[in-house]
Amino acid sequence: MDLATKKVLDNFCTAMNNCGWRKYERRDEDCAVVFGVNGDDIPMQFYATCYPKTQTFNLYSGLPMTINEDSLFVVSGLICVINHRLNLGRFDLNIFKRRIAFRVAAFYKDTDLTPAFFEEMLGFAANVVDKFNDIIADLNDGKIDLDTAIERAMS
Amino acid sequence: MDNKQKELNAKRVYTALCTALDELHLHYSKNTLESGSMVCDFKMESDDLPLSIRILVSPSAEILSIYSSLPFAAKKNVATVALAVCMINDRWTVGGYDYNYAEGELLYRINMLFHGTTIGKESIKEALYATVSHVDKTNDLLYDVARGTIDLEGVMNRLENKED
Repeated sequence: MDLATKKVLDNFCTAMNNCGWRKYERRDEDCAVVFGVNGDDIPMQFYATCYPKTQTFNLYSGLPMTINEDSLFVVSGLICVINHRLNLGRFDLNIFKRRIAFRVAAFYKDTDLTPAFFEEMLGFAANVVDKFNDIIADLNDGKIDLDTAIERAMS
Repeated sequence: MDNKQKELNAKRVYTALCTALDELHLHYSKNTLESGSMVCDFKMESDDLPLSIRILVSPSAEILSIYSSLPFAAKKNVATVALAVCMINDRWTVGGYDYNYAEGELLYRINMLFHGTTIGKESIKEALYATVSHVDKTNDLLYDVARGTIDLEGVMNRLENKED
């Protein structure tokens, strides 16, 4: 692992410790850190990883649901609405696997991604995923229609 | 971090941005919005559709945003466009399109947080390269989807035939 990538992972783990999230698994062979966070409703899993070749850092959170085939269109519409109002990160929908993941990235080529930076990113990502995961789940399960989902997402 | 520190840091990021654009020999206009956000606007030639790019540095949000709005509206074939946008975005580790299907607007966006750090000019250049590369490879594809001349299978085939 190159020094720049190691420093990013070190700072990320420092941020995790500072947030009090000490139950994480660091996998240096994958340049990754894996951890879970309890939200208001659905528990959240996160995967943080570096891509040394491009010197980019990504934080992902995969939603623990498979999108029903007949919900694919309405869920894609909701994802569009949600992403349109985010000023950082986005939700990605893989229409083949029918899975959704939240993604936020950072470049570290000549940028020091500090523990303070990661604390901010972690707080933001956890809040966003926690805010929208249940709305997406309810739409997928047919408990609400698209208009109601959009209303909840915009509130 | 108080507002004054945020403003100072944002100015450092904006300086790095302008340095990056100067080193890339890009002709851009500078502006400060009422919100206090600092922007650079410029155009770039590409293989097919011209690219308009805005880079915005927000002191309050501590975010640098690169936007490129596609020069056509996608108000028809909304379902197919929405799914095509998902297919395209899912291939990338940075950036992606936002689709406002009410207005038909397609906007490519990369956001870079700078809380607790100052983004370097080389990182800004990397984000700009990604923007140009991503938009150049997909704007004509989305244009064809919006016009209804290709379906999702066509999108998949064209994405597989282009390098990522």
